[in-house]
Amino acid sequence: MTDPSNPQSGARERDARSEQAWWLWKGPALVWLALIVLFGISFGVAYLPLGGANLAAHLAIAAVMIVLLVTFLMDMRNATAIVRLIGGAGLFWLILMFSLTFNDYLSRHY
Amino acid sequence: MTDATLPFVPPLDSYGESYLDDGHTVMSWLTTTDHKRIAILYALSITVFFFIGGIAIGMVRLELISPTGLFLTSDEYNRLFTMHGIIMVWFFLVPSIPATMGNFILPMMIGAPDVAFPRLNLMSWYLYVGGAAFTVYVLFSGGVDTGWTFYPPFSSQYSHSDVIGAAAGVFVVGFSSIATGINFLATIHMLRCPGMTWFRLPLFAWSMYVVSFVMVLATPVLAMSLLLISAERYFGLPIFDPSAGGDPLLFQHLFWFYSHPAVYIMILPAMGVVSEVFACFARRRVFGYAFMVYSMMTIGVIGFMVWGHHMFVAGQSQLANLVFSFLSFIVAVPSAIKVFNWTGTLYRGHIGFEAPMIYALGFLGLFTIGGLTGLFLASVPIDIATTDSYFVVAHFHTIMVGGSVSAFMAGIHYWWPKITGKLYNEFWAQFAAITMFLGFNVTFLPQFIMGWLGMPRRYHYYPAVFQVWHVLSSGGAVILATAYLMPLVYLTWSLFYGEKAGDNPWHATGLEWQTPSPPPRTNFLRPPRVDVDPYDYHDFGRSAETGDEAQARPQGEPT
Amino acid sequence: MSDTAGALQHPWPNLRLQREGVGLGMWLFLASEVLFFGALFVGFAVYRSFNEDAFRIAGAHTEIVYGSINTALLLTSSLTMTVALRAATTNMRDLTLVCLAVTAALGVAFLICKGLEYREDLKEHLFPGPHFPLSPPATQMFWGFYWIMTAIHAVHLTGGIAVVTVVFVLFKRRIIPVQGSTMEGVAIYWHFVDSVWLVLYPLIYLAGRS
Repeated sequence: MTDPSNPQSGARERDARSEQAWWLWKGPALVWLALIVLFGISFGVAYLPLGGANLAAHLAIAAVMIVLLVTFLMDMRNATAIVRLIGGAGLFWLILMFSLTFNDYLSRHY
Repeated sequence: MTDATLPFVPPLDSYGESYLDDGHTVMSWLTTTDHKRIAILYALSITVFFFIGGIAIGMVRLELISPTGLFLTSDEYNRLFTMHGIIMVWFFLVPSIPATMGNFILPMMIGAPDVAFPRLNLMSWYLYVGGAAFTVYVLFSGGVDTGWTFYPPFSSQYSHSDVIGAAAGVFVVGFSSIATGINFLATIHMLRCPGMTWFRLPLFAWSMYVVSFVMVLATPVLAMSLLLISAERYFGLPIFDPSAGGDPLLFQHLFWFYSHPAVYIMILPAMGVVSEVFACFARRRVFGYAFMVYSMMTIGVIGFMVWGHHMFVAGQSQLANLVFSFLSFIVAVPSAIKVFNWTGTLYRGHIGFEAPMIYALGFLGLFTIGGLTGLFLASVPIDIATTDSYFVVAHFHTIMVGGSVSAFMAGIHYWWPKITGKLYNEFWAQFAAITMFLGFNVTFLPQFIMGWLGMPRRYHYYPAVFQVWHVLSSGGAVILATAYLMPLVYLTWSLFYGEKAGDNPWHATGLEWQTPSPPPRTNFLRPPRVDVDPYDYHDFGRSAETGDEAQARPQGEPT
Repeated sequence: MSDTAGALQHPWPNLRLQREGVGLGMWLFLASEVLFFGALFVGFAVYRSFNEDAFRIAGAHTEIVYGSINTALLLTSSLTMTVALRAATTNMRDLTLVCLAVTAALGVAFLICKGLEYREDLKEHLFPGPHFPLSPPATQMFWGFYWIMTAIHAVHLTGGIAVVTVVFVLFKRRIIPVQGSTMEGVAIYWHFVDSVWLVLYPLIYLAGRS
């Protein structure tokens, strides 16, 4: 695509390319930074004596991290309706499995 | 995509040539990515396993003629009924309709040139073969004696048979059905031909859609439960071991999370097939098409919420019993809607008793019996009395054999002219269909009765009072076996000596009938386009007054 | 503009739909995988809810340093994988190749860390069995799940590395063009394996630290 007889157009091409490269990195890098920060917070929380709340905090942070990852890195925000539906189905069936299994375990009195 | 607008142009060199002539070597079959050939590969392999599983249970039925056994040790007896269960469930019933007729007919029905991922489709057959290889190995290494349900702690700690080998076979074959499911879902979503909107999909395509979802979401849980059993058995990890705080019931939860929906994996495709057959041979539009679709979806979803009815006496909580019992009753509603609508389709139809229709009518009756006895078992007090009795055995065989296998035979006979281009002998087909219905009832009605009287399942020796029922049941099994062997003969015969079928011998409306039989490599000579709803037969049936034998309007035509 | 002609597969009518189809297929597979791991998590949750203290005692013996390093490695690999996909769709072939290589390398680094960690665990005899060093007995349950969960995750990651390597070679030798539908599926799968780890990490390494 670059015209070798015209060095200026090559330079413009390179500029456009480096701008594009910046665009490529910027979004994902921000998400990566957020993930690393959340990971650090989760790590720190582990050493606070919160009792039962430790696990809840960890899982909540993990949930946020996964939402970030799925939304931005797996690009769910630009996904078609059917892909969202499939993601939702996976989640729904997971909840189904948890709730009906725990429906047994939490109501046992022996 | 809400509406499909996919033009496609088949390559010129494939015009007119049947898929059977697209290479004649063994390698051309083993490396094919043609969905029609893969369907045939599947059909051949599941037929082999159907008869292996049949031989296993044939020996069991023979043994049960005498209350003290005839020729088997108890250990051999246990292994035989276990192998029967494993083979019939995972190597015949689960892939039966989807992997053969689904593979062959579904893409043609929606006007697609192939499934979405042809190579994945071939891989799924190889996964099946891989799982089958494990199972054959287990057959020769002495079998497995846990029952098809693999319950711990027996399977994980005490059994001396090859549990891991059998589990590996089931594990691998599970991925073959996940692959098939993914493929069908992507196909139905992305490759419908122009004009084939969601509510113009024939009900068989809808049934494939729902069953694929169930396969994709249920099968992995089975895989994990088998993995956990194997880890406990092989590495000694105490996953279900009560001495380390484990709970054997957890396995049952996970196992039935798959294995109850698996019943719907077996019956939903059957529902799809008979919907096609009823409409065609009653010359009637399917009654309540939209309700048929919604009820299949409802069955697919609610089917996931009822697994605990297998565990009423296993020790789960009272509340769980209550909830699962309630949900099990709920799932009967959409099933009943379907039975009602099939009957409504037949009403005032001009019914022809061709072989596929006889099989389908057999399905209707047996599915109703199986469904109603299922309601008995969904009710906790009755289930407590009949748990692990022959009543349960007869109930689920009525659904899985009376229902699914009848529909499988209906489908094979219905689409045989399309698949092979040949007509089978109608008399023998009708004879086999009637024999199968009679044989089935002679086999399983005695089991309902003796189960109700208290005969437990899986017992090798039994009190002499039950002998008469066992002998009746074994006699019925002989009739049933004959009925299964007959199609093998006359269908094979038709391949060589059968009349040419023509494109549309039943004057059916589906898109798959608007192309040559056998179809060309890319399914259609010219890209099809759909203009009308499915089942445009006669609004009030092929009524006697008008003598209207005219062809029904095809759902679509080549552009 | 580019060599997309070889990218179109039977039976797809055009590359846009094919890419959408591959994404759809991969998402379906992941929905399946969610339930696969979900079954494991249900088991873990049930046992933890009945043996809270034992799980805390057992959790304190995991190697948090290795676990944390691995979390960082995987998160970073997701970054490079995303860039690889974006570069591929805009046909920046060199950047795609570099990012794929880095991604695979980070994956391998994860596996090496995991191996070192396993060695430490085995040195302390933390494998359930008759001579298990911890008590009460339910600590063995935690460690049983530890081995299964990490091993299954490692198998998934190994599969991911293998696929990335194959794709790298195919791109490098120009057997398939980078803007085909391949990267779509590979990237989604890789992120999924990463997100499973994000659940495993707190369950295994962070329990019982306070």
